[in-house]
Amino acid sequence: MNRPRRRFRFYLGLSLLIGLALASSLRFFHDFVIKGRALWGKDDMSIVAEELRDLDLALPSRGIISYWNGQGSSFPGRDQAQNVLSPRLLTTDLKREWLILDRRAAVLAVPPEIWESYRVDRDFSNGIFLLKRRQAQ
Amino acid sequence: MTLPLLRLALAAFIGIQLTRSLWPRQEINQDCWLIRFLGVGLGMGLLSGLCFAWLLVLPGWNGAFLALEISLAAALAWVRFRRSGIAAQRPSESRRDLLYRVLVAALVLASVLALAGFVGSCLAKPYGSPDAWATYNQIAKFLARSGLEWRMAFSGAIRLSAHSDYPLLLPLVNVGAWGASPHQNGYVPIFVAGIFMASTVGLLISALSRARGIHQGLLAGLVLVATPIFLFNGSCQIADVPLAYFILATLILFLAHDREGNPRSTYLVLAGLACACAAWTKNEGILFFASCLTIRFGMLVWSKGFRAGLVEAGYFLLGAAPILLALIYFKTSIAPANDLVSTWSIAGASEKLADTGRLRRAGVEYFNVLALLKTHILNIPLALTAYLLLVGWNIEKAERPTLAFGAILLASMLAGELVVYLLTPHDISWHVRYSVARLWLQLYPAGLYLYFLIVRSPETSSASLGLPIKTAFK
Repeated sequence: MNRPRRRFRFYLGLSLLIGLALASSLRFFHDFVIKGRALWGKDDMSIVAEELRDLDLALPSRGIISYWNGQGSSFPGRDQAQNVLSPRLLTTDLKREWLILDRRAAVLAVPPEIWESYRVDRDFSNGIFLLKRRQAQ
Repeated sequence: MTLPLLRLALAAFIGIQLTRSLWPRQEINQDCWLIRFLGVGLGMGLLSGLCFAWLLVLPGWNGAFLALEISLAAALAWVRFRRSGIAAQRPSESRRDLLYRVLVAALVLASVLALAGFVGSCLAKPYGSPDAWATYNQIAKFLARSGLEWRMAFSGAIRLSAHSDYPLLLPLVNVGAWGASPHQNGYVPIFVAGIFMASTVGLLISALSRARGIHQGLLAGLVLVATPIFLFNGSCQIADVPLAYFILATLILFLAHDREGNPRSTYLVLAGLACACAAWTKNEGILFFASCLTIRFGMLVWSKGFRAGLVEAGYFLLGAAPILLALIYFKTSIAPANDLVSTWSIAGASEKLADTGRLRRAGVEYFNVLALLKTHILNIPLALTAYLLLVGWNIEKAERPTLAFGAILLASMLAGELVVYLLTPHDISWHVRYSVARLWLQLYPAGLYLYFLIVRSPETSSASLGLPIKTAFK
């Protein structure tokens, strides 16, 4: 292959790669800055952190807390609450002194055993309730 | 925010000084950027190892930990002071030809756009992706806040995270940056993610500049910075980009070792440290460590004999030891069982491996992910193939064994991960589709490194084609 042709191929390759790379960068910028601006700061985790702020202050600073949202330990409700309320550990068993009743997602029928064992200590007016275990008679 | 940044800077300083103190003296000035980008990541790895040792010995964060870090930094600065004045001077020849300017301009533009996209992505998801806030940041927050009760994060009875068995490099880097602060600044994980992304790009550019010339380094950096999957996952605050960084660093250090006429064992010590950091980052990194050790020293025993292999393995394991011991202790004494491994049995595994339907489904999803590398405009596989065909390739005979080692290593990772998928207890199609893009991402910067070592560089082409390109670094 003669030298001019090889030079042409070399410059063509470089130009293509540089051009495609810049076009890809522009597209990424467009998707995450121009188009994505509407979403800034509105992801689920940010909303949950806001909703649980008062609960975070009301809870004891450490310990294991029961958590009930009608979905067991399924992702993501418990995990989001766990992230905000760390270093407390959230468990789905109903044996602890404090119980977080999370009814944000829907008005769920709360099992009667919860009302038998716990009383509402605080209502945060956003579907979140902090319950305290009833004292034994 | 200032104090966490200072702590991260201190960790980077420790890593850079350690790397510099192990680097051959006459190469220090020439490799200064490579040393810096290697040091930043290794410093993060050392910070996490130090945090883990601290948790085991003196749980709870206070000023003493910072004092320990400062003492370590001071000791390494003293070593640097003792070694200064001996290094060779950097080559002074100008390298400002037209192609260099075009590549720098393109890289700067792409980096600015990537940075803006990174900031935009972080503003949209300040807590990162679900994997970040439910795993890495979840564990980090708990370790920073829980004091003496930190082991409860890994208790089998109450699950902190679905993946509490994951190695701790990333959570502990965040913990090390937060220190004793009562409030864990949410920008720290974002900043750590940015450090690893920038260091990966810098490492690729500086290593290729050293091996193939500055133009080749800038071109590789441009392709990496323009890859959407790298930018998007980097901003998610997950461990795949840090793992990609350590895999790349390991390969670069092995190549640096093999390039020398009179190889230095210190490169192997650093390669061992980088490889152990990969294992300390994610479970896939453990597979990488095992593959690396087996393939590298298998090849060495085959070509140079058992004794040579044993000596190299000794230096490699010496570098890996501090982090590797932490990992072994964590996995054997603290971490709960992995959800993929806990259900394995010989009979079940044999049955799954013999099922051709599973292999077909995994294989289809496995290679479908190549499509993810061509999202947006830059079709990576097609663009790189076209570029290779247009400019050609050039493999030096002396480098063939090292390049073969790198290629076999990356292929073995893909094969090993395919076996893990075949054995998964989850729905195989869902599992592969959900995670395989990130597995490719882990190997992507190292793959780019190997690719640009093979493809003909502008410097190599300049003589044969009469191009107006200066070759200062060749």
